[in-house]
Amino acid sequence: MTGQILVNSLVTASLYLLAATGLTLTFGLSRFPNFAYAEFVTAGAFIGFLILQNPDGNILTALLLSFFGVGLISMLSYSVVFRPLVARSTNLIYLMISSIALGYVLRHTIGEIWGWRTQSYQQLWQVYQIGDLRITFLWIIMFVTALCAGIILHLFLTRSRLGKAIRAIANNPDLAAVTGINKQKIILLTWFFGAGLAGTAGVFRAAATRVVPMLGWDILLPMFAVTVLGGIGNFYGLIVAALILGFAENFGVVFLTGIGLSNEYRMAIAFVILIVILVFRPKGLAR
Amino acid sequence: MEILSVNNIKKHFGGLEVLKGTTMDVKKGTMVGLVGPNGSGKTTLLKIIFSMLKADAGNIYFKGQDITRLPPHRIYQQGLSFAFQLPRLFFRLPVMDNLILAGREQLGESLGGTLFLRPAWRRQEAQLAEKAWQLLDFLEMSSLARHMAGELSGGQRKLVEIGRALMADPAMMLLDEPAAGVNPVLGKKIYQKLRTLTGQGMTFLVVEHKLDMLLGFADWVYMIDNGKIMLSGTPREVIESPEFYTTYVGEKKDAAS
Amino acid sequence: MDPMVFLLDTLVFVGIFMILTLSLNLEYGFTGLGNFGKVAFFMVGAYIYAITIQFGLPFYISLVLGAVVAAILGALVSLPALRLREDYLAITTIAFGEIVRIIFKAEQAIAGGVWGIAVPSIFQDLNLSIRMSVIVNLLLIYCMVAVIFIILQMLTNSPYGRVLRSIREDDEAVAALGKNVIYYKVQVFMIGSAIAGIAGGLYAQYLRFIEPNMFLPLVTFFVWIMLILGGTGNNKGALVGALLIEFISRGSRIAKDYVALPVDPHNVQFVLFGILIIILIMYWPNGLLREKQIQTVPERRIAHGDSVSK
Repeated sequence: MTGQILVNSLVTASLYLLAATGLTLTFGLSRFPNFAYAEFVTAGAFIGFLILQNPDGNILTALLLSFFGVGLISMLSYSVVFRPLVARSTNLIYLMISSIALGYVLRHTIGEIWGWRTQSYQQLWQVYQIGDLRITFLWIIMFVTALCAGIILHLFLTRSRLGKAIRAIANNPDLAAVTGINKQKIILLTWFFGAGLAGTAGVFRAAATRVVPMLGWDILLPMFAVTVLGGIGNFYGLIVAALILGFAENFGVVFLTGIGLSNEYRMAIAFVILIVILVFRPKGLAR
Repeated sequence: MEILSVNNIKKHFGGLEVLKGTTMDVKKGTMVGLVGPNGSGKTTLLKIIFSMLKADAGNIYFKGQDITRLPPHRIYQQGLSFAFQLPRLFFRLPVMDNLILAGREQLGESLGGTLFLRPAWRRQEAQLAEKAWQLLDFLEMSSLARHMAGELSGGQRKLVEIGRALMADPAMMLLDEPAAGVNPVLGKKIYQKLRTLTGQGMTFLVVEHKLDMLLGFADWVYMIDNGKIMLSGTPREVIESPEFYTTYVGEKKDAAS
Repeated sequence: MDPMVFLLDTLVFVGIFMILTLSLNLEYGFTGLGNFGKVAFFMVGAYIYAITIQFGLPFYISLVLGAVVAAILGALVSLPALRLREDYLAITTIAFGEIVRIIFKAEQAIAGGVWGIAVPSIFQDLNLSIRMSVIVNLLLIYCMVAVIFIILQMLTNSPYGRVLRSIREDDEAVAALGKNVIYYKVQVFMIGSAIAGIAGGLYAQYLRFIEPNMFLPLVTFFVWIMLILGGTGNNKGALVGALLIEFISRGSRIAKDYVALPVDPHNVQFVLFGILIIILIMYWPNGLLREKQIQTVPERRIAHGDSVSK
């Protein structure tokens, strides 16, 4: 039983890590939380649906397509909406409102294209039974994807000039001007890569549950919880935070159902964690 | 009699020790200067006195009372005010409102007072406005009273910043480079005006980069370097001491022309 | 539906949204607090009203109870975030809105869970026609709009309002001028939440039935559009914004019955509202009506005769 919960926790953590990497990095770089990340996840799920509505669709193709598709949507939204707004020194609250507005535009465009009814991918995932543990093939791909994304991002952030610059700007936005880094290029790249990962998270979420336009919104709260818990802009903090929330949710649900509460309260766990961090550790775990 | 005592204040940012046990006293009715090269910790000390930064160790007494752990708004209510080096005005409010806001104990500032003590706070408002007009006259800015603070030039903003800190008739004022960013003639005028106020018992602690500005105005000067008080004396004594020159060696022209 | 009733019904919704927009204007327009969970306090007001009215309380007691509970929750939610940056307040409030909805959805025992709860009308003994019943509600709601508008005008056009506006501009500088900034922020958040709670109570009383899906985050978003269109920091602007947006929204709902579109008008409406708000923020962030200055400072008395005119 406990073993199964641990596995489930890792799966949840992988999902949140993929979904929130871009959120935390762009939050750190562009200095505002992009609420449209919910819809980036949803868009990923629906782009994946193009492939996976056929029973013989390949999930890797779907992941790649979602990654590039959502990455492009994100880059486009930065160029058309957020870059002009930042250039007009729009205040933080209006930036957040604009990102919510963009979210509605995306969600209802998706609703228009694919409809609001509940749909699902047509794949059947191989189930492996190892002793008491039940593991699906989907979970394995998801975990491996998160692991690969983590390693690639780690190498990128520590080894490449551009990656180091991203960390530098996230810590100190005025620095870029000094070192002569092309800040716009870095921001665009981060918006692309981060949203692309959120797109793959959408495919995984949809494969595990169902495909609906509210899919992303339903995990927005935990996404923000891990972002704040890990420390805004801090990728390594995010990994730890995703694991913590993954465990907290999966053990929490067992506890909640144990005391007779609805498992709808799964969300409430993220909320409680969010509030507790804000009270005791507003700068996240790292500091 | 000391109105302000700063007692062995220590402060570090990360690994950097900015203040290493700073101690100083300010006598009532005097103007005291705090000088030092860039990065010597003078602004940090001023912010710590006003609780905008927390000290790692040490105590601050104002009028005999320990204010180390009071929040800024309580310190202001005790009669100590602060003028920022870079003016922090409310840009989308008129100059007049920027000044009136600084009035202490306004009846109309509480929820109940606003709704139920209307005649009383309107009288108070008239008095505050009158006071603000007088200050604006002195600053030669009366014609700008109804302009938005955001429309003012840098020098004008600086004047409003200082005028605002005077609105509440504080017993003591902390000023961070009051003459920076205004023309030298006006800078001198500001110091002259502040000097006349010491005659009425007001006290000033002024952070100043250029010691020569304080000649003829300040009663006493503390020179801070590397987080420690290195020298103290009258401005003349400090400016003539050899240590002063060694400290300012890189910035001699700038500091004492 | 009787077109007259449809118009009156629209006006009822306009009134409800006017109250909500006024409350957001106090929080954001004057004090700079970004409340992204307005709907939560609206919902709490509605449910507290719906639940307590079942016990036969007079309706105004239920209304006040809703406001009080909303205010207390407002304080509890905002307190952890108010000391921090404004984006934390946004995240906490948007999260709180979702949590409140989840609770009312999950707990059948509180108020019917997903099935919702019926609310007895306070006018049911009068045996009114549909049209009259809407008119009576309309009067009640617009009386509340008027009272709230007047109180907010008094609050914001006074030394109290001056403190709030200054906090919006630079809260650290306000603290350096002797004002307890956190105290003001919490107070404003409580007043704003209480007003939203009253709007919720009136909403429940009018509709006579509420369920969790009436309180989607969309409501908050609509209130923001109304505020930004009308003009932040202007209470009349909040009223105008609520009126315009609600009419546009209703108008498009009628239009769909007459115009055959190849697309779902519901989707089109939201896409257009989303684009509208981004365009407003980009090109017209001040909205229709500009902020008015505080009018309580008397003109200069020429007492000394030496008025300097430089």
